[in-house]
Amino acid sequence: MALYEKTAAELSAMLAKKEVSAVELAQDVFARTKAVEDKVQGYVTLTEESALAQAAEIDKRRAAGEELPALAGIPVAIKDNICTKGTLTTCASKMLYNFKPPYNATVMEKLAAQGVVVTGKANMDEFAMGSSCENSAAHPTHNPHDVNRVPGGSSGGSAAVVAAGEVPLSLGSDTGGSIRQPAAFCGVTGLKPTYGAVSRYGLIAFASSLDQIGPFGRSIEDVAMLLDAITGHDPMHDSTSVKTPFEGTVRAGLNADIKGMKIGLPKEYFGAGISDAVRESVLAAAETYKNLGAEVFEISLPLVEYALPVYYILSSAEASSNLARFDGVKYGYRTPNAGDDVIALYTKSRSEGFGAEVQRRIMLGTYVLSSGYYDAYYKKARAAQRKIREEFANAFDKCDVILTPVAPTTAYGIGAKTTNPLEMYAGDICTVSVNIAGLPGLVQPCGFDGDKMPIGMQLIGPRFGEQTLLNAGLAFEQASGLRNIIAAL
Amino acid sequence: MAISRKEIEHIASLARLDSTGGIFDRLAEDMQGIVGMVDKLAELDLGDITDVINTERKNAFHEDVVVQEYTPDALIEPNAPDFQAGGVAVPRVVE
Repeated sequence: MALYEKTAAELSAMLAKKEVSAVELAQDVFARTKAVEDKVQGYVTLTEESALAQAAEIDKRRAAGEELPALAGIPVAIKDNICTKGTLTTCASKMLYNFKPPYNATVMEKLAAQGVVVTGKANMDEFAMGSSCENSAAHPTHNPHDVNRVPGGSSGGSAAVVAAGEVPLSLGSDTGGSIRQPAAFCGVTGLKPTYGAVSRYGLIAFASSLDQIGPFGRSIEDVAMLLDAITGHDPMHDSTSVKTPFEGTVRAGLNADIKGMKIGLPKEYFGAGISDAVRESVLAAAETYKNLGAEVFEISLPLVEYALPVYYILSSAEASSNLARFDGVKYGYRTPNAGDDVIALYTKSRSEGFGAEVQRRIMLGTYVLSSGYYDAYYKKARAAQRKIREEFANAFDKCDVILTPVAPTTAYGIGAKTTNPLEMYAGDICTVSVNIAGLPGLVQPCGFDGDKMPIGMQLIGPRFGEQTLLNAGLAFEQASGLRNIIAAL
Repeated sequence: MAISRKEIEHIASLARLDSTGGIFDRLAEDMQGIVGMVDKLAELDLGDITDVINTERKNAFHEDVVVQEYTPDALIEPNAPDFQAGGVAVPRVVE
């Protein structure tokens, strides 16, 4: 087995035993990247030179007898909306085409302390707005399992490079499903942590009350390793971050014995609109859980039918405010067509710098916050958010985790949904409620459809229920054998 | 509810987006469908729930510690579209 085919946990053990050096590992993953990246196009920036330097530094420290963290020397790709000091951070937007942050995101400081090797910046839908990675100003990313299909989005690059064996781990961000849906489409494991578990400092904001950074990997253990590295209270930089009950201990706490675990199946998530292949695969996973000794039963979450309007109102409202900072003045793209008019400088820089989807969201957000419409849209959506949170809280009185599909279908063809934004939005139906309620959501592969495209399942937990989620994920992973799936390419 | 072209242009002006050309015609058309989608929320009866304040969270405070993390030049110059004489140059904003 080539190095690039191994999981991060396996590689970590090999590095610790000096069976392989961090430089050899970095060279191997970059060789794999060079072999397949033309087809996948999962990166917008590769940082091979600095990665090899980081790897050499780790090897030096290990040779000197230093005890190193589990992730030291492990290659990790970073979504391009996470600020990396001195390295291009474009959000896959013309607006930030030349932006080199003067500081690191908190998660980057944490990964540096672990000694990870950063391989590059992963492609995404512009400003994380989209579900197919086709809204990137750089180029679309292709699904490694069928390069004529989308990898999902918005963290499509982060999912695709892990599925293609270009890197064992990556970071993404999830505002309405942007880690979970591409994980499902690419057959990898991804976790959207509880809101507040991971500092958002240095994550370029889309919708601040919903955004959360999270890990991708090809196994539950790998996702737990990366989660352990990034969680933590960040009082100086992110006032919404909190101390979790599981900081740094999730991997050590993994336990696949789930006898007696109560798993709820919300009937509304399995109805019309969900393809037969997805429904059958997720229900088969529910049977697996029964055989493992879990108690599986139907529950009801009727407000899901209002989740899309609530999500698109709240996220677009926040986006319209957050993206007001991009005005062509201090950094990023500035129009050459403004003449002497400062208002034209703002409007032309924004209209030329933002892509169509970003402009749609800004328009919707401005509309729902504008005078005369605020009460009917924004205020009502916030009230509905409270109701959705209560609905989940009541469900968790009865069950430990909730099992659902991730998306109505498996990955679709490139270009299939680009002409009608509403069709694209409808694909977010199974994931947005988790962000609205601030809950953790785990996605992992549970099967394949007739075209051999991966199908994912979603486990939703109560706030800070990450350990339970990953334990449930591990039990299924062991029973199904669906782990470390690398696309053939 | 239907949203008029004039209203859409007003929203664009609030959002500092150019409504005079480019992709704007397409955006204006898409807005009709998107607003129709979010209008579904009107059906939802929320009873007496009106409180939209997030009651689960408290304000977070920390000590106000003064540090100089950057010099202005190092912070602004590398990324400013037009940097002159220690500042960001923009079109004239006062007569």
